Amino acid sequence: MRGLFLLLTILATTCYSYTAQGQAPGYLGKKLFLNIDCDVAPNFSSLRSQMSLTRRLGLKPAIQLGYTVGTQTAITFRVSGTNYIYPLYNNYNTDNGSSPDLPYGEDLTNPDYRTFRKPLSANLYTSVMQYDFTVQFYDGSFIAPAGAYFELLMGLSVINTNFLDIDNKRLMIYSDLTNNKLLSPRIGMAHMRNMIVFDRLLLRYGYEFGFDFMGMWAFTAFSTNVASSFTNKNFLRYEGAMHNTAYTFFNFRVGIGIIN
Amino acid sequence: MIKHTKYLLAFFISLSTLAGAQVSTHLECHGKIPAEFTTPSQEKAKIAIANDSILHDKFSLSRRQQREFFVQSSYAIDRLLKSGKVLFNDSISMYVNSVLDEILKNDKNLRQELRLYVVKSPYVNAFATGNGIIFINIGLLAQLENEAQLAFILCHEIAHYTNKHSLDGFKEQIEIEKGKGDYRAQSVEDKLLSQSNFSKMQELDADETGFNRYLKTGYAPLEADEVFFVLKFAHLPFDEIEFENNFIANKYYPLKDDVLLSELTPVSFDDEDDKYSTHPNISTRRMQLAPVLNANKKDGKEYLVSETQFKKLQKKARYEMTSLFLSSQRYASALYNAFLLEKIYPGNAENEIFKTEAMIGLSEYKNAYELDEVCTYYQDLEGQSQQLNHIVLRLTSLDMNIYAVYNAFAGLKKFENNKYLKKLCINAMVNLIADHNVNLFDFKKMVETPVDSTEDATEVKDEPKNKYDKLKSEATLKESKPYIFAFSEYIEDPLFVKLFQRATKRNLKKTEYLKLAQKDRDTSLNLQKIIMTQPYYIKVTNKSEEGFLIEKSEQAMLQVLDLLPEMAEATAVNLDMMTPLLMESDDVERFNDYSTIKEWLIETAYKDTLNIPSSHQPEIEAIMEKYGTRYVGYTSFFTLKHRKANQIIRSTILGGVMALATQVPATGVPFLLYGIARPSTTTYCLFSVYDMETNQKIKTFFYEYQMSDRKFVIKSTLFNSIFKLKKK
Repeated sequence: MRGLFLLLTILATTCYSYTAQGQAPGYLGKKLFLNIDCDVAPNFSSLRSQMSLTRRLGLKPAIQLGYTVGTQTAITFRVSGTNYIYPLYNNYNTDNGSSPDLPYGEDLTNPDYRTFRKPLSANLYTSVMQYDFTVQFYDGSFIAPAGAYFELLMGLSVINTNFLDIDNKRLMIYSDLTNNKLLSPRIGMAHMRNMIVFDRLLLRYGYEFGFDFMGMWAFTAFSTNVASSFTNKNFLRYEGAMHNTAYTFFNFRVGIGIIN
Repeated sequence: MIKHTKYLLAFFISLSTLAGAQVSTHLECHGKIPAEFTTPSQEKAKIAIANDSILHDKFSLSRRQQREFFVQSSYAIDRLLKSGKVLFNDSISMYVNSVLDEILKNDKNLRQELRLYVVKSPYVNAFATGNGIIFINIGLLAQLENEAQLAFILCHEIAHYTNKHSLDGFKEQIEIEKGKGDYRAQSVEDKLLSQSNFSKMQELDADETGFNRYLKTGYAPLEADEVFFVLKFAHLPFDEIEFENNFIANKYYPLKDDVLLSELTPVSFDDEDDKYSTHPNISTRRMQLAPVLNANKKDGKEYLVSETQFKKLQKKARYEMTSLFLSSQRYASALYNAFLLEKIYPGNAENEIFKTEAMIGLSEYKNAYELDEVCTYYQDLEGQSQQLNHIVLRLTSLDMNIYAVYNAFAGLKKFENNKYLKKLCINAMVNLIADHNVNLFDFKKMVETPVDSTEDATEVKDEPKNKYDKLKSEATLKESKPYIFAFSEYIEDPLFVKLFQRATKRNLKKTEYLKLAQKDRDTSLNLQKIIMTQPYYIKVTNKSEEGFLIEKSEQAMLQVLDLLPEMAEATAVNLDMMTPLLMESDDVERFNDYSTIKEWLIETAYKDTLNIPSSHQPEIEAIMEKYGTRYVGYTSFFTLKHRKANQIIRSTILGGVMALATQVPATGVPFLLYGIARPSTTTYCLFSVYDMETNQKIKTFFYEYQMSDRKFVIKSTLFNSIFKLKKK
């Protein structure tokens, strides 16, 4: 993570020093912009975010810092995060003495539900932080950062999955904290429109498609029975990653920002 | 290297300027600028609606239609008033107004309601607006033979105003378009026919009412009938004189037989088909007035105000018309006019200038294989000018250039002190050298003087003695280079040699300059100051019947007018906004400059990169010096609003097809989303910069936005354009 920040800092500094000399105009000569977005995700995976207003519509706040490197190009760094709960369809609770390290299995007598060999907590709690480096290409003749643009994203999702014991209102944290994290490379693309009012305020809207690779790999693992060799813990981590992929696959973005 | 480039550029530019000591002969406005030239259309419409000044029968139109009428008419008139083509308080306008005073000397109230302006347009036309403005074109004034004819034209136009034809026409058009009353269930063709018939009816009404008024003046009634002949043959030049070949050629290099038309198409006296025309044909008009005319064959005068002034007006109008032909690149017409001017008003330097400018224009267009753009095909013409157009068409590009040089220098010899002619001469020589790769040694003086110009000028009397004499003999030389003796008359003239040498040097510089100019186009101008003309703004929608959104267009244009100086200030560029909308009544000098710049811009835009002098070059030189910049900018915006519903329906159908094809309903969703999200407005902007020094467009920025013309879009466009010009 530290390496990523270092890389981004070097990249941003290089771009700044290069373009400051190059006199890239930007909108009215303004080059730096900061946005606060709220991504609204239609829920494709029956996940429920703690930040959501409804079960079917998840929210993902984001902050994005950008710099125009050319008349119609800008680079940005974007951090977004959310969390959500995934029900495991079991009525068991943690007091039953289940263990996450036991092998994972499915109840063959009831194929509609995935159950654990030993009863376990009822819900998954997954929190996600996404760190994206993006490049914005402005449409037609728009001058960055005003107007419509196409954005390419490349970054990392840090997926942290835990149990949530709803009955006891407790978040169960694994003892081995480092192992319940998954780092997933991700790519994405967005199409957005920035409107500028009073020459400083930036209003924007658009949509984004994102792909978390870990979720896709997990999905492949589940669908090819590789999951049978998982432990409960692995199962839960990959289950979280898989649902995260579905959750962040498509977002509507709205946001406000300032340019300077 | 950069330093060197700059000096080279400056040096060439200083050489290439065409300014001279020529005194401008273009017509200019004087006195105070009338308020209607400086007021925005929407303000005028508001005032007109508040006053209801011309809408006497307003109850026949709905409130919306009344407003529409005022807005539409105000906008259309304003476009002309602010085009820089309309003259006021100049000598021609003053005289024409005095004729109007004479006609309405017994109707002071009506006189006060009317304003009469002369329009710098070569087309034979006059028209009256609903709010009491009469416009009369230079082209018509150049064709009229006496003051009485002018008076009848004015009476006709007054009748259009007093009979409220403008408003009636508007009302009728609405009924025709909506298919009301007699126009129910008409086809498109029938509608056109109905409009044409109504317009013709109005013209006949104006003829009749106008003639009745005309009879009350002291002008000769028969002259009214003569006006119809003027109008019938308005497509011909202002005179019919047989074209003389030696007007462009000379005895050492005469025109070849194949370039001459053996038989000219005679001028047709047949009536034209007026089925879809706005005006009835001349016979119909004459026939209508014949009974009244026969009943009133009283004596009258051809002149009541002043014959001398009319003759002056006629002459000025003819010169101005020729100039207008030049600025609109109608070079063949300008050349024939120059021929007529030389015949009617001989010994005038202007004639030589017009002739030279026209020949340079023709030769350059010929070099670029685009002659058809500036010369009407001879078979589409009739009368004497047909010969000239045929010659121009048939001449080779090289011959055209040679004749341009010959005539330019011949003109200079007649008026040796005319610096402008000298510069034109060099210009013609540069074109000859650059486009045909010839030099001074390609031309020789013919030793043997031909007995007769029609005979073969190359006849050699002495037999050559040896091989070299044979090679150097005139006959041999002429066979290899037919044009070799074209400049026999001047080839030993020290001035000719000096100018040719100068042109040769300049051609070398020109090549260098063109490279630099190309480089300059690719980089920025380091712009410090620029003159911007009034922006042009059009907003169109296909969402409603309205189509062209006149009021919104003007509002948007005014917004651009405000933003331009603001954006220039933000980029530290000194911007001089040149528009009548920002002028005070005392700014007549500035108005004339605006007018010149507008005409020059149009002329330059058409010429593209051809090396043709501007007919406004001397005035443009003065403007450059006065405003301290060589750059003129022009910006135009166009927004088009589409029908969103159609777009969504199209996307839904596409999405449906996709969903059916893949059996997965979700695959149709992106198409539907695209249809909804896709903007329904497109905005285009063009920002062009012209160089007054080189007479060329040097920068063009084109912008296209899939978005409505929001303020930030306009600001961004203007800022970016000016920034790019300013950037070092």
